[in-house]
Amino acid sequence: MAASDTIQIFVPLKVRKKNGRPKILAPADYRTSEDQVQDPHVLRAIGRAWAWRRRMEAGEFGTVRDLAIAVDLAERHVSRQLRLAYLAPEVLKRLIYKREVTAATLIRITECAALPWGEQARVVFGAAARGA
Amino acid sequence: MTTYEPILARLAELKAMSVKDLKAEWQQLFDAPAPNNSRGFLEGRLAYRIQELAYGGPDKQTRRMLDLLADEVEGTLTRKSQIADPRNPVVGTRLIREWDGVAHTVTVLKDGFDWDGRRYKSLSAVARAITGTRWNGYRFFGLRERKRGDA
Repeated sequence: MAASDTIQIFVPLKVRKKNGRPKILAPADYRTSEDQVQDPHVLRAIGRAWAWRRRMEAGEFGTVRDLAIAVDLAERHVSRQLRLAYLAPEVLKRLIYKREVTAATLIRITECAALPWGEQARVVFGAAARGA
Repeated sequence: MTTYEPILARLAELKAMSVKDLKAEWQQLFDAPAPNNSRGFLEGRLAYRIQELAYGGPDKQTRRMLDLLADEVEGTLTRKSQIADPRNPVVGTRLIREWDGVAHTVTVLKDGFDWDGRRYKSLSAVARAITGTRWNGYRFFGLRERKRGDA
């Protein structure tokens, strides 16, 4: 190909290790395409947290410790992952129903569950987040 | 949001409460005795409950999807799976595998694979179409996750 009829396109991308695997991160102002598929690790973690929440609220366990013993995982890990089920409803909807991609790691998402609901979306979806 | 300020104030109040107060608050908001004496647990759940009563919890669609995901993770799945196999490459990826001296190209679709103009549900099905024998599809296309310590 001659240089004259070549178009070069530069797309700024960052490659980061996310949840233990390399992942290409788009720039913050990037609008995701319609066929975006949510990261299976995010879906799996939220699904598991919701399953735990269901069992806790059904009265199966009185404490997170009892739950952790039952599922044979460290209590610290269980209590952190369980927070995913208590994210603001709007954030959950955008993550699992609309399947919007997130710039935040799972750990970061579990941390922001303690924030007031109105502040969570900004952390999970970044500053360029579109309103729900 | 007009109700927002008092809600934030109530969330801030939780931090200053004693465990005894938190348990009394629990009785108020959940109409049941507090399940334990853990300050972190009570505070977190109460904060959630206060906001849930003010703004409402997850809507019907979200709850349904959460239940589907939870069932799938717990292994009681009855419907189509919602969570993609993490071994699947990004949609649009072309996998090239040489077999019997012929290079076969498979394109990853959103919910399946395309080979030779036909759609397959799994890589195993593609591998079977190519070779006539049963293969683990991920293995045939070299997508098996390497275990730690594998060369």
